[in-house]
Amino acid sequence: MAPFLKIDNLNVTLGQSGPRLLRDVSLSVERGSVHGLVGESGAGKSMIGKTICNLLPQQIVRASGQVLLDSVDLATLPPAKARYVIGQRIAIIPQDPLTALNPCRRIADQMTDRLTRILGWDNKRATKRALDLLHEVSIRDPERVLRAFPHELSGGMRQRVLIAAAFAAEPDLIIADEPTTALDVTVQKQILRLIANMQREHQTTLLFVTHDMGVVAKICQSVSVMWQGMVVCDTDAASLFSTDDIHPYARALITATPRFDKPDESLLPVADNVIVGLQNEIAAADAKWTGAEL
Amino acid sequence: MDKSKPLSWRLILPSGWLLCLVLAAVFAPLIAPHDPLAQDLFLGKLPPFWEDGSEAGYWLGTDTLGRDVLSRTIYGARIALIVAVLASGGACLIGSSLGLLAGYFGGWTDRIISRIVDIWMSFPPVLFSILLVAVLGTGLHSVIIAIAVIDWTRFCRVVRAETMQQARMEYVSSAVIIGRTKFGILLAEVAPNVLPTIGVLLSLEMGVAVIVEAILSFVNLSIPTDDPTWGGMIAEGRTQIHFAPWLLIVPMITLFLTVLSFSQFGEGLKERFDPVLR
Repeated sequence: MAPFLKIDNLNVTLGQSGPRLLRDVSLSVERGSVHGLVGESGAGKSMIGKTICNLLPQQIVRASGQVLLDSVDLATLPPAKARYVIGQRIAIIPQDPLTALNPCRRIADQMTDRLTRILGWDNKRATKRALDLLHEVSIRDPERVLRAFPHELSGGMRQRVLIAAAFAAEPDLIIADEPTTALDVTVQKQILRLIANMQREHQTTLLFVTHDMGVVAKICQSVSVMWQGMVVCDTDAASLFSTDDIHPYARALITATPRFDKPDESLLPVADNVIVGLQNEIAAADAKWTGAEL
Repeated sequence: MDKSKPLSWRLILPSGWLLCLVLAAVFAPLIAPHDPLAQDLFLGKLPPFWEDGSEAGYWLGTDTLGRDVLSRTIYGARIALIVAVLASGGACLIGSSLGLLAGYFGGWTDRIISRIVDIWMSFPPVLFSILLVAVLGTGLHSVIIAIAVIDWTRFCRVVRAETMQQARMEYVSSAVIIGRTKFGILLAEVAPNVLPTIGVLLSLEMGVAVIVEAILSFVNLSIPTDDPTWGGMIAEGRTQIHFAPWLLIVPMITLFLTVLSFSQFGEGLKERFDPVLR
C-alpha cells in the first residue's frame, strides 16, 4: 500500500531565486503511524508542516517537489478544493497554546469551528462532540471550559483543548508542531502521553515535530533527522537507537540528549568533524540544485 | 473579563468630569443661568465670585460685552463634544479600516497605505487644518471634516502595527486551515483583538479633537464668532488678560480638564483591558 503521506524532493526557497530553506526533502509516513521530525532550531521541521497545509508565508515559495496526501498532490487542486481537503483531513497541534486560541472567542466556538464549517454539522451536535472530546482529554468540568475564554485556562489546559480540537473532526493526519515546547516539564509528560494515547485510539497518522530524542524513542515508529533544511537520516525509530550504523549527526544528537542516570556524560556538543561532514553534504546537494522548476 | 477588579481613579475621575460635560452640553438651556449671547454693556467685565465686586448670578463673571462666562462655557461644551465625537469617530473609521487592511494583507496594500500615511504625517497638522478649513469654508461641519481627514493617520499607524502582530498568531493559521476566507478572518478573528487598542486611541483622539477645535476657534476659523466656543473665548480673553484674567482662565481650565480627562480615560481603559487580553 502506498504511504499515506509522501513528500518527494520538496524544495522551498525564500523568494523566487533566494536561498533554499528545504533541500530535496523526501519522506514517507505509513497510515496510522507516528513519524518524528527531529533537528535543531531552524532545521526546517516546522517548515515541512507549513508546506503540507499550504500555510507558507508570502515570501516563501514552494519551488519544486511533491506533497502527496493519500496519493493526491494538494498543490494541483484548485485553491478552494485544496482548502476543503486540508480542512477535512489535516489538523495541527500548534507549538504555543497561548497564541493558538483567539483571546476574543469562547472555547466552544473555536473547538466546533471545523465541525460546523467544514463538515457542516449543526451546532448542537458539534457542541456534544466537543464535550465528549474534552472528557477524553481528561478535562474536569468540560461544560465550564466550553463557556470559558482562553485566558481563563492554564497553558496545559489550553494545550489539552487544542489536542481535543485537533482530533474533533477525525482528521487523517495530525501535525504536532513541538506541542510541548511552551509547557513546563511536569505538564510536558502528561501532554505527550495524551497525544500518544489519542493517536492510538483514533488511529490517526501523526507527524511529530520535536527536538527531543527521548520523545522520539517513546512514541515514534519512524524518524527523519534534519539539518539546515536537509533530511540527513531517514530510518525507523528502533534501528535509530539500537544500531551503530546510522548517520553520525543522528548519533551525535542521541548522545547529546541529557540522561539523568549519567549526568556527566550528557550535554555533549556536536563534534566539529560531524558538522564539517554535514556542510560537505549540503554543498554537494546545492551544487546539483538548478533552481526552481515550478 | 474580570468583573471583580476595582475601577481605578484614572477611570473614575475622568468619567465624572466627562459625564458632567455631557450633561451640561445636553441640558445647556436648562442649566445655563443666562443666554450665552445676551449682551448687557452695563454688566461688562464683572469679576467672578472669588473677587470683590462680583454680582450674584454671574458666578464666573462676564466678558467685555457683559455676556455670562459660565453660560458661554456650558454652551461651549456642546460644540467641543460634538467635534470630539464626530471628528474622532470619522478619523477612527478611516484610519482603523486602512490600518486593518494594511496590517493584514501586507505587500502592496501595506506599502501604498503606509506611504500615504508617511506623506500625510509630514504636513504640519495645524497648518493643514487651517488650509482645509479655508478651502471648505468655516463652519462646524468643515472643522469636523478637517480633523477627521488629518488625524486618521494616528489610527492607521497603530492599528496597522497591532494587526500585523495579531495576524502572525497561530489562531489565524488555524482559521486558514478550516477554510475561512481572508476577509472573514480579518473581520471575525483579527479585528476583535485590535478593538481594545482602537478604543484607547479613540479616547486619546477625542482630546486631540477638542484641542484642534479650540485652535481653529482661536484663529477664528471654526464656527461663526458669536457662538460660544472655548477656543473663541480664549481668543477674546487674551486681549483682556491684564484687566479681566478670568475671561482667559475659565475656558482654559475647562479645556485643560477635558483634554486631560480624555487622555487619562484612554490610559485607564488600556490599564484595565490590556493584561486580560494579552
